[in-house]
Parts: sequence; C-alpha cells; structure tokens
Amino acid sequence: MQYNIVFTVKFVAVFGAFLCSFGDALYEDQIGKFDWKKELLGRVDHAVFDSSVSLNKHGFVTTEKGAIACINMRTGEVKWRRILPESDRKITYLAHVRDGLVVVSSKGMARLWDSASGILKWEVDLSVAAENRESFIVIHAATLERSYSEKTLLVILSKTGLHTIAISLTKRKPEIQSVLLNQELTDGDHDKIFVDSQNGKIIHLQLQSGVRLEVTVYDADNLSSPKQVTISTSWLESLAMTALLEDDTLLYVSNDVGAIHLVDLENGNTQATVPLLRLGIKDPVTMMSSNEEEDVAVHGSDVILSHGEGQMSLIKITGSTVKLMQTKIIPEVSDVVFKQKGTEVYAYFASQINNVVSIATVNVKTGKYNDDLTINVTLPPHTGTLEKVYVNMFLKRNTPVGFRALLQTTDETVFLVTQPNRIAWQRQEAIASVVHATMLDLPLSDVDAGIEAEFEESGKTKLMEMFFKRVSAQGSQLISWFNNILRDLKEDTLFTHKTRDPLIQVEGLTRDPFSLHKMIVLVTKSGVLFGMDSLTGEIVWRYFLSQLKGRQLHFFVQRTTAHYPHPPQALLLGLDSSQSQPPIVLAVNPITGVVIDLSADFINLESPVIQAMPFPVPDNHHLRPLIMLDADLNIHLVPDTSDIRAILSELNLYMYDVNVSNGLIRGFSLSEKNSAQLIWSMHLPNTHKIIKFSGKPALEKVDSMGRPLADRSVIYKYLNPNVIAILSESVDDAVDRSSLLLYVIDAVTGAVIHSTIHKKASGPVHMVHSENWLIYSYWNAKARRNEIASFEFYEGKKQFNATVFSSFQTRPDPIVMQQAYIFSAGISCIGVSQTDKGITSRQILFGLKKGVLFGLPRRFFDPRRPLHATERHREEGLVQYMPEIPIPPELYLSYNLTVEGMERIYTAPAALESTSLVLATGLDLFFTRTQPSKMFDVLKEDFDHLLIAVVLLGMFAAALITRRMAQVKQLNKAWR
Amino acid sequence: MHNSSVQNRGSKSRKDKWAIDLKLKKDQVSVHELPSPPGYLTIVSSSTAIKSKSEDEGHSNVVNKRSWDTALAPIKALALAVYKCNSMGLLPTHASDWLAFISPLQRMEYVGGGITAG
Repeated sequence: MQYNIVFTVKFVAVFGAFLCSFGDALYEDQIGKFDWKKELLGRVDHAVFDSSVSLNKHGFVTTEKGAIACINMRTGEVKWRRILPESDRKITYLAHVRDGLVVVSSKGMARLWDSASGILKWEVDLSVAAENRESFIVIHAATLERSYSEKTLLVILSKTGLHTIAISLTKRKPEIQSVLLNQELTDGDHDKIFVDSQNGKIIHLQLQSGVRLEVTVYDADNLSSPKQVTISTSWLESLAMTALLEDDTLLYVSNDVGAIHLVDLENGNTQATVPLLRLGIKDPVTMMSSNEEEDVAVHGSDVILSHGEGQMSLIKITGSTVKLMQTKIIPEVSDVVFKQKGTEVYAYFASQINNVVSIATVNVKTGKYNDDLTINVTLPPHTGTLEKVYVNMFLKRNTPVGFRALLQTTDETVFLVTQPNRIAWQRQEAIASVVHATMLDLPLSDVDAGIEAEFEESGKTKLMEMFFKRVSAQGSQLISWFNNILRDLKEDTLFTHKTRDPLIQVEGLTRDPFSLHKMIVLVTKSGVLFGMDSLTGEIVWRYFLSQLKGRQLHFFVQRTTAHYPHPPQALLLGLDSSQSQPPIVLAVNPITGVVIDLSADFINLESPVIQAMPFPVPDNHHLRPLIMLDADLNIHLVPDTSDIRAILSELNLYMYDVNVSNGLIRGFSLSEKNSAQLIWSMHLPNTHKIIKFSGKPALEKVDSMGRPLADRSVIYKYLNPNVIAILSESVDDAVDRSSLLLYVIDAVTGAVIHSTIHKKASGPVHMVHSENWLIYSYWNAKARRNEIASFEFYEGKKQFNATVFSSFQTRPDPIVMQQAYIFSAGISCIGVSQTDKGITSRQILFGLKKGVLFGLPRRFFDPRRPLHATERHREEGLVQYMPEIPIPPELYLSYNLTVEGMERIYTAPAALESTSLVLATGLDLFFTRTQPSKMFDVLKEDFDHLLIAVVLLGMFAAALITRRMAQVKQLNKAWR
Repeated sequence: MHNSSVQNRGSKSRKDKWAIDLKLKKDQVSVHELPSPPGYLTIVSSSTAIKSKSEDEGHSNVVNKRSWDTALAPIKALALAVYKCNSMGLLPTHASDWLAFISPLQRMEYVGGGITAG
C-alpha cells in the first residue's frame, strides 16, 4: 500500500514535470491550417446500392482494407465509414436488407449495421460453435427476404456447415441455426448457394469438376432433411457456366459437347440438350451471364452467351425449348449484369475500347437494344482498364428505367457514371495503399531561378557580363516585388493570408522562404504515382503503368529542385517479385509528373536485380546515379556513362544484402568497375528469422558530435554511418521459448558491434535508427504488453579520430547504453522527426493502433535516464526513469482526428530549423508538421506586433521630448 | 599612519584647490610636530641613530612594496577576474564548451543496401 502511494506520488511528480516541459498543444484555431487528412477506403471488393425505393441516393462498399462505407452517390463523399479489426478484414458478402447492411467476413463474423447511421446493430461469430475455429472460412452467403413475413434470413455457407441467421432490425439478438455438411468443402470456386423466397428453400450447388454436380435443397425454416439431387456431368468445369432459371430448371453450357443442357432440379433428369450450332453459335462460349440475384424466385428464363468476337446472344428458355432471341456484336465486353426492378429486366454490357467505357442496355423481355439507355464516357488519361461494374437501375416516370453505374478500374479508381454520358465523381482509392512517399522542395520562382542560374554559369562568363546579369536579375526581382504589392493593393489582399497556412505566403506551386510547401510523391501498390500538393492534399499529377502492379517498387530522388536549370529527377524501379521479368525503370520528374520509360535499356538483364542504391555523391550534372546489383553481382548504372564509372571507382562504395528468406547477410565491395566482390557474409541462426531491418538514413546530418555531461566533460557519440540493425524473431513462437535477437552490424566490414537477446518476446517490431541511437518496439509475450527498447552508442570521453570515420580503423568497442520501457498502447508504426541541420532535438513519432499520431521527445527514450534523478541529472536534461512512457493527449499531432490504419510515417525537413513535416500513410493520409523544440525561429502567430511598435515609437518620442527639455533647462541654467 | 601620508602626497596634485583636508597637514614633518599623546615617550623612539635609520629603511621598503602593489594591481585584478569568470563557469575551459565547434566526421566509406529485392 505504501509502495503504491510512493509510486503514485512519484508518477505524478515525474509526469507533471513532463507536461510542464512540453505542454504546448495545438490551439483550436490552428486546426486545419497546416494539417489535412484524407479519408480513404481502399480497393473496392463489393458494392451494393440502397435498395429502399424512397431516396435511393446512397451506395455501400466494402474494401480490401476492411472498410465498410456509405457513399453519397451524388457527390462521392463518404457518409460514414467503419473499419473492421485488422485480423478479420476479408469480406465475403455484402447485402442491403431493408434498413440494414449485412456484412459477412471470411472468418465467420456476421454483422448488421444501420445503413443510415452506420451504427452496429449486432454481430455474430459463427466460428465459435465450430470445431476448429482457425480453419472456419465462409464460402458464400445469401439473404432470403420473404415477402409475407418480417423475418429475413441470412444464409451462410461455410466450409463445414450451412448457417442461417434471422435478421430482424428490432431484435437485438438474432436467432442462429446451423447444420453440418456431410463433408468439408474444398474452396469457394465450386460451391454456390441460392435462395428461393417463394418456397422458402435454400439451394446449394456443389460442383466436382469433371464428375458431377450436386444440388442440395434445404428447407429454410428448419434446415432439416435436405433433398439431394446428383447430376452426373463430366463436361462442366466451372459454376460460371451454370444458371438457375425459374421453374427449378438448371441450365449449363458445355463447350466440349457444344450444347446447352437443361436439367430439372426436382429429379435430376435432363430435359433437353440443345446443340449450340443449332442456335447459330459456332465459336465456343466464353462467358455466360444470367440473372445472378440470390433469389431464384426473381430469376427469369433468359441467359446471354458471349462467343466469337464480341457476339452477344440472348437466349430464352420456355419449358424445354431453347430459342435464340437476338445476337448483337459488342466488342470488348468485360462484364454483363442483369438487373431487375419490378417487372422490368435489363441486361447491361460494359465494354472498354481505349479510354472510352460504354455501357449498352438490352431489354431482356423484348430482346430490344435500347440506345437511349447507353452511357459512353471517356475516362481521364492514366486510368486503368475496367475491372468491375456495379449497376444501379431505377424506375422512372416517363421512360421505364434509368440507371447509373459504379465502375472500378485496375488502378483502383472508382467512378460513378450517370446518364447522359457523365462522370459524376471519382475516388482515387489507390492512395490507401501507399508503398513509398517522398516530400520534395518545390521549384523556385522564375525570378529567384534567374539568380540561381547565374551561379550555375559562374566561371564561364566574364566579370562585366556577370555584373550586368546580377543587376538585371535584381532589377527584375524588384519589379516583380512591386508588381506583387500593386496587385495585392488592387485586390485588397495586402494584409490577408495568401494561403490557409499562416507561414506560407507564396501562392501556387513555388517554393516559399521556409520551404514548408512541398510536393508529395506517392508510389502506390497498384502502380499509380501521385504528385500531391502538401498544402491542400490535392492531386497535382498522376501516372499509371499497369505493369507496375504487383511489383516491388523503389523510388529514388536523383536530383532535387535545387539545381536550376537542371530539372529535378527521380527514378522508379519496379522489380518483379518472381524475379523472372526484367526490371521496369522510369525516370520521373517529380514536380510535373512527366515520365520517361528507361526500361528498354534493361530488357536484356540476365539475372534479377537484388539491390539498388543511389550514389552518395552527384555527378557533374548534380544527378545521383542509381547503382543496381544483380544476382550475379554485376553492377548496372542509371545513367551509365564513363564519367560515372570513373566516379564509382574512386568512391569507397560498399553494399549489403539482407536475405530474409534464408537469413543470409552479405557485404560487397563495389570498387571494381563492373562487378561486386563479396567481402563478408554472416548467417543468422536458423532458429530465428529476420523480421526487421534498419540502416541509418543516407546522408543524415548530425549537428553535435557528443553530449555534454554535468561535470562539463563530453561523452562522444559513436557516429558510425555504416551501421545496420537486424532484428530476428525465433521460429518457435511458444511464449516460453520465443525470443528476439538483435544484431548491430557494421555493414562495411561485417563486424558485429552489438547483439542482444530479448527472451519471451516477439514481433511485430517497429524500429527507428538514426545518429548514434536505435529505438524499437516489441511485444513482451510474458508480461503481455508492448515494450520499447532504446540503445545509444558512445565512443567514450575521448574522440578516437576527430576528422574522419572509417570502418576499417581499429577502434575500441563503443559503449552501449540500453533501457526498456512499457508502452501502454498498440503501435502501428514508428518514425522520427527530421530537421534541416539536425540541431533541433528529435521527436519520436508513433502511429497508434487507435488512430492517433503521437510525438514524444526523444529524451524519454534516453537510456541514461537515472533511477533517482539528482541535480546533476537535471542539469543534463535527464528525466527520472519511469517504466511507463506517458501518452498525454496534448502530444497527439492528430489532435482529435482518428487516422485509420496507419502503416508508415514519413518525415522531411523544412528550411526552418525548428520544423519537421510529417506524413502518415495507410488507409488514411494525414499531413502535419511538428516542432520538437517548439518554434524557436519564427515569431508566434499571436505575437503582438502593434504593442511592440507602439512601445518603440513611444520610447522614440519620449527620447526626443526629453532631449529638448534638457536643452532648454541647460540654457536657462547658463543664463542664471 | 604611513599609508595615509602617501595618500596625502598624492592628494597634493589634485585639481581641486579648494578642498581642505582637515585631517592632514601640508608637510609630512608636521606629523612630528603634533603633541604626543599622554604617556607617549618620544625620547625612547628617537634615542638611537640606528633606530631612526631603520625607520628610514622601513619607510623606503613600504614605498617599494606599495609601488609594486600599484604596478601589479591590474594584473592581480585580471587574475581575480579570470578566477571569478572561471568559478562562474564563463570560461571555455571544458571539453563541452568546444563541442559545438567540432566538425562532423568525414566518411571514408559509403554503404547502401537493404532487404533482397524482388
């Protein structure tokens, strides 16, 4: 008890000291001035439209990233969004039932959301009752809406059983019924369920390829005594070629036999076999489309067969007769969708030729193509091809029906197209899967660039010429300044903020004096590149190359905007994961988005590229060439010139390669011109596998070489720029035997500088490595909590060599200091602030699982924090050690926003030393800036300029008056 | 006694002619003309020549010492100032005072790489 009190008092004292030392959070009126957040959804998996007749303006989507969202179909804005837990994000089924949204996840979670508000009504975990919970997988689901009762059944087919959940919006607890299947199902492609709302039946189709088709019919109310019919068919390969028609007829097309088969589901007898040739279909059927509504009661008796070169044949079945209604040629059809509303049934053909997407419509009842009901839209450039079409058909007063369609393209863009030929809105969902982000300085204004150009040319031109150039450049600067003032006066904007950010007073995509306005280049998993304005988050340019999809993408900035008149350049390297395709190399202008494809130079590469790095020094065009190492240790350069080869042979360049799959780490020397030499290698113990690796940021700026101590001596930092940290996790994941193994290695020589083992610990690990310190988080499996380990490396009180650092010098081993802390929140990612000169103290940035971006000064992770703080420690700025790391809400960089699904944190320096720009990517995108040591180099926004001016003027006036008074007095005195 | 007389000599050259020093006379000799305090025997103090000689010597010693003091005063003051500055921690005598001037180390090797691509 006493301990507790002491502990509490200590905690309060230390915590209070923490808060006092940094407590300036964001002011309310600063919100949104320099930060922005983009809410995204991810690649759309399923989409449904609001089925209620009344308003009909909302659509619902679920995505790959586990987001469930209600989208306003007029504007494309997200009305509400819910994110499923990370462990259960794959969604198998989505349906809109009355006022509820049914979502079934692949792991057996069924949830009902209120579609208007997004409130979760209930959730049911079907896997609880299953024998093996881990392997419980939902294969298919359907909803059975019965017109005569309030009760709606959600029917779910899992690998092991059939389950029904009675949906009622009024009831809190749904009723569940389950029945086990005779045998476990293999995968999702061979099973399908349909419901029959008229007869209250559930129909399960199971195809055993090339053997038979089994049809099992259950009674929806009690699931008991199913009726099974086996149709032996050796020709049927896929369920895509089957259709359930009205009157319990099953239709399937077999290309091998070249016929349409009709089977009576009651007894399994074949009613008719109609050769395709007789219908005039000569080519094999490539696609069969029918009404795929889950409810067979609304299924008609029509199918559409596509064959040949875009021939679409509408076929009607009456009893056992098959009749070809019409054949029309529509080229490049990617999807055919049947839609029914009331008595109207239409089929929609979505096709794409180049950038033009067409949706043609046929009235299934009459077989008439309806030209009024056609949408032709031109997709913007750099858009992928059509992947999926979701059609929303509605009844209209004058014409029978109208429709709109949600298009999904391969670049993960979602479009809503409406009549007449209009793209209502589009959403760039590729941004939800950013794999790399870079923040680049914007180019200088033309006037400033003129002066820069002068420096570029100096040495070549004559003195007088240079003088005149300078005078004219500064003259034009003066003129443009006057022009700006005049314009501001005319527009009455002289004293207003030019942008929403009070510190950015330069409009447009031009560099501001503080360099706070940047161009953000985003590289996404789907192969789309975005250029984004950091001030607003608006997309400036985008580029899409479909071949990049699925590849491992690397982005290197070769030349920044600092070298006018040379344009900035970056390289995008797309490496094939299977290592069979040659690399894709794109030269990108990161400001304009102009891309030059250089892949042709590398098409003949014999072995796959395993490593790539930019040169540490630029060539004489200020370009840092990219160096690539292939599996046969050959060196490839981009660009490859003899000058650059010469630079390479002069540099002491080394490369390392960490192979995660076999635990082999290798180091190479690149001093030879054409190939690399292996100089060291090490194998991690095979009991461990590498889960995290981190080098130091390339070309990092370190301001201080050491740390002053309380006795005013210095402890020098061990600033080895070649250090890498490798963390591996034990293969054995039992709590007692699990461990984490850390190796800190000099990547040039392969020397192990430090190693540590954390027993009873496991991943996931998030790591930051910079200067002379290393911080990472891990899971303490024994205490079941997140912990953070912090390391610092010092040379000691004497500097070994004050001028150069070489890994080959025989130095004494560095002094390693380490501490660990408890972190009481789930961590998604860790980053560190970065400033121009590295003088400002660092801030460790955490992306928390709960959607918070949180920044804490690095001194909380100082491994020298003492157990009992004395005056000496306080003098050094060391805070007393407390096991817990505080997470005060004042330090949330994301204030009250929730940034969902954070994956990475990127930082970039501004020209202001105090400020670091922060971008968090993941499902959402969040941009802000942080001042780890407060804003010491700019006057605060609330600085009272008026008061200072008044006081100064007052003092000046007072000085003048008193001077005059003193003169008068002296004169009077002299006369006396 | 002697101290004050030295000061007196110096005060002669003062600009302010109007100031009257009531405590001291113009001449140093006049000090001896003062009536002795009761019980003070002048005979004993000036009875022997040796004594007066030694007195003269002592006097010149004092002047010497005083001159040295005056000459060394600025140096002493400087030393004192240094000591004070040092005790206040104003002198850059520690390694930490020069930390900001240490330039970053020049890299002899460059390294890059990462997890095997592809």
